[in-house]
Amino acid sequence: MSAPDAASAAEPTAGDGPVRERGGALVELWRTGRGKIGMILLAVFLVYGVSGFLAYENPPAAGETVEDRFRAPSVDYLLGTDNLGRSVWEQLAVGAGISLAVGVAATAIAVLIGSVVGITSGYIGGRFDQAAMGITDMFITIPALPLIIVLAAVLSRGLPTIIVVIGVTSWAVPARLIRAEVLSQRERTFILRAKAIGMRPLHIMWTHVLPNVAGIVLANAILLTAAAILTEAVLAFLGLGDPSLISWGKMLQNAFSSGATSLGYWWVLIPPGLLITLMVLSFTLIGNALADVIDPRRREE
Amino acid sequence: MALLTIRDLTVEYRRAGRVIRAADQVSFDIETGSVVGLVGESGSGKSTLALAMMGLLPRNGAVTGGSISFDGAEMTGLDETGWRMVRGRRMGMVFQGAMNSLNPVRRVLDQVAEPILTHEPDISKAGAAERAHELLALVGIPGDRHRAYPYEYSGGMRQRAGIAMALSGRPALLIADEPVTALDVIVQARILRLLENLREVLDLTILFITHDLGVVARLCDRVVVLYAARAVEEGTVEEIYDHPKHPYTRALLESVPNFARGRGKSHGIPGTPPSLVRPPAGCRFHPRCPDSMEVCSIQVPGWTRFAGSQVATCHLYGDGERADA
Repeated sequence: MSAPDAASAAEPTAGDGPVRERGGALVELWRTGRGKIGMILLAVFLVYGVSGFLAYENPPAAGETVEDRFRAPSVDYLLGTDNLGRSVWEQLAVGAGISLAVGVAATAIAVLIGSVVGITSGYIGGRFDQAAMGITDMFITIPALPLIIVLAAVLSRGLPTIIVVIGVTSWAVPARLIRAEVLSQRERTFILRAKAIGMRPLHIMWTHVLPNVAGIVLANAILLTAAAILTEAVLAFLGLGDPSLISWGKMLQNAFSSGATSLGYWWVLIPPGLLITLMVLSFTLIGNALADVIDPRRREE
Repeated sequence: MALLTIRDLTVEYRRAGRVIRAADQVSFDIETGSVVGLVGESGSGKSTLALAMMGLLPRNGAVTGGSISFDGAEMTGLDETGWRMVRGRRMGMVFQGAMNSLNPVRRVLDQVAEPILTHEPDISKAGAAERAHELLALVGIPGDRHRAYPYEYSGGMRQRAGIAMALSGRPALLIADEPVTALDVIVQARILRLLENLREVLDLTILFITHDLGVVARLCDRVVVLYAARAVEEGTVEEIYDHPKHPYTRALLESVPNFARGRGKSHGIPGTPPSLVRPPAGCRFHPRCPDSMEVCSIQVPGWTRFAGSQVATCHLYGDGERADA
């Protein structure tokens, strides 16, 4: 084989690689219709939740007279009042903060456990993988809601308990998903190269495996947040939430226990139900859109 | 002095209860400062040898015999901690798939700095980055592209970056496993010239693994020919190219198109490489060998030493005394 002698070794290779036109993931997310709706909804909830946190006490003050009970929506009370004369609007505002806080914090716990288990299990493999996945499958198989209810009932009442209970019962599915992705990443040549330069396994997992599964972790985290918000509402509705705090689930419970449903006071019942649905919907839309942005194969379907 | 000495190295894989011997008593030396070509078809055990030298055999594979001695120290039986001191720092490796050997989500510069940060914990990030810049410039990547991501690189640039990564820990031996195989011939030529230059500038010793004899002729001092997990011939490039002794080496050379000699046609080798699960008895090449004799299917031929440093294992040259190489 002969080579052209004109080219010097130090000369850069002709023909630069394809430079992919790339906005950030946020821009691509915005371009999808679902992502846009979800992000707008979420932004509204964030503003509402922050305003509620700054402006109102949780729980909001009760009404002063009997006439304040079950006031219909008016200019003074945008969404009326409940059986204790508390403004529904204020309750919704402080409840938004609770839902977001529980959703994000519980997801952080679940994603942290799920990532650690999924990445180490997939990367190390062998017996460790078998043991870790055995435990993971156990958590997947146990019906989550009854377990959560039992734990929430047994442990001390409070927001931290709710967060931890939801977090430690929802890491298993993400752990499985992350492990599956790690299994395919593990076989890639750059992992072998990382070993060939003498990197430690933990270092390889952190610098080479994690960044390549981060997209899946993120998309999953957003979907998990939706589930965590729903679970929090369920727990509060069942009376297992923090008794001293108003949340959307608690509002629903109050609506039922105070008889608002049978009396036809719709403003006590419908707003929290609708907002729970919309917030779960916003996270679900963003999560699904993000999963599509990250994985082009899904987008084509 | 030999930097690397491999003696009777045997590597076996276990799969579905069967043992596959992917390297069978392979021996060769790599002298300090030389470039040795390891040539063979797919499945001849080239990459297995490379991985064994780095202690990177997959879980189901193991060195089951022989020795690897690097700079006077025995490598077989090293534990993971021991191997980590060798990898990247004493031996560097360049991989075949240039694209796949780069992490797509990390900047090239950071990846080139990785071996430095791994092996020199005292060095600052800025110091490591500076050395990475120097290395990338040395392999011919313009300065404004150092911080780019791998997908912004062409195939040739990726392989240059791959070479920079293998060299950034300042290894004495560079193992290049089919480094130019997936590249077009012009880029191939440039990468080969780069390796030649680096060899001189950095005093490198190189083990060059390829199936392409044309590439070997350009770069290597010595050649080891592998067939079905065994070494069959070894010598200097001139010896092997001018007087190939083993029929397999001859057939391999004839299968390279040689336009200079006015023969545009190449001749393939009839048949397919044997299965390593149940390799042929005797000389493993005998079912495809044009000069096959009765003894070839019965007895494994010994090594015959020829003029100079050439050795081959073939019954054509009598039983021969067993040479050391």
